[in-house]
Amino acid sequence: MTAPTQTRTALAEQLLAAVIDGEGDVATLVSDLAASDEALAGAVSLAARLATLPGDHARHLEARLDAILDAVTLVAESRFTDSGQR
Amino acid sequence: MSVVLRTSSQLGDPDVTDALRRQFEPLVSALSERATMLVRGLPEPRPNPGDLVERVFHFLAAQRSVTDLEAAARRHLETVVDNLAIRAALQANDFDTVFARLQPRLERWAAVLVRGLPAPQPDVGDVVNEVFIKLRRAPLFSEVDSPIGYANRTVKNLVVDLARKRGREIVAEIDERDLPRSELEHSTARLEAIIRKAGLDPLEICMLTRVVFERLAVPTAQRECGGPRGDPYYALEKIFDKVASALGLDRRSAS
Repeated sequence: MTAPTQTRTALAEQLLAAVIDGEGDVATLVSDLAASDEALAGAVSLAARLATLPGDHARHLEARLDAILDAVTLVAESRFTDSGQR
Repeated sequence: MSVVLRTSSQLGDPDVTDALRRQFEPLVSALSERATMLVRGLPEPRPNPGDLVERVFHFLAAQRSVTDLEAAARRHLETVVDNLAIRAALQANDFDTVFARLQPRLERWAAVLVRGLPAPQPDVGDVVNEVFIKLRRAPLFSEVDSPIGYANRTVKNLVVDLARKRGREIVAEIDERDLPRSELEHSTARLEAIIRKAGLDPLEICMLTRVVFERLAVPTAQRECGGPRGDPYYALEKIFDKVASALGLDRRSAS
C-alpha cells in the first residue's frame, strides 16, 4: 500500500521511457511527476530538447509529452493552495 | 520519510477504496469544520459542507497515489471551494475577484514550470499576466467545471510553448550558420549539425540517430549500437544533456 517517493533521476528516466517508447505505468508516472517540482521542471526542459530534434518522429514524441503533461496538470490542480504546497 | 499512499481505486479495487475510507474517516470532522468556514465566503445558495467533504474523498480515491492524506484532503477542499467561488465570480463578470483568487496559485505553478526553461527565464509575474489576458479572451474559461484546472493548463501550455520556441530558435541559428541553404530541408543534415556541435561520440551518435530517425525503442537502439553503457534511458538522458549543454539549453548551468 505504501511505497517510497521516487528520485528525480528515476522519474526523468521513466518520463523518457513513456515519451519515447510508450513504456511504463503512465498513471503512476503522472501522479509522481505532479508531486515533484524538479521532475516537472525537467519535463519542461525535455520539451525544449525535443524541439531541437528534426523529423516527424520528434514531433510525435512532443505530442506524447503533451498528453502526459496535460494529465499531470489535472492531478496537480490541488497542489498550490493557501494552506501551502506539498 | 515521506511515503506515498497507493490508492489504485481507479483500477476498481474495492478493498483499496475501503482502506482509504477507513483512513479518511478520522479526518471528516475537522474537514467538515473547515468546509463550513470556507463556504461562508461563497454567495448563496451555499453548498452543503458534508457534500464538499464527500467530493474530496472521491477525488482522492481517484488518484493513483496520495502523499500525506490529511494535507491532500485539506488542499483539495480549498481547491473545490475556490473553484466554486471563481465560477460564481465569472457568472457575475467579476474578473478582479477571479484573478485575485487565481493569482497566488498560478504564480506558484508557473514558478515550478519556468525552472525548466533555458536562461534567460521569464519573470513569473509576466507569465501569469499573459495567462490572465488569454483567460479573459477564452469563452470556455467561464464554462468549465474547474476554472483553476483550466488556468493551470493555460500556464503549462504557455511555458511549454516558450520552451519549444527557444529550442527551435537555437536550431534555426545552427541552420543558418552551419548548413547550406539547399540542405535546410533535410532533417538528417540538421541532426548532423547538432551532433557536431554537441561533440557526441560514435556510440552516442548511433543511439540518438536510431531513436530519432529509425524509431527504434531505446533499449533496442542501445543494444544494436553496442552502447553507450548504462541503463538505456539514463544513457539517452545523458546524450540529451550533452546536446542541451552544447546548444545553450541547459537550465542548470545557464541559470
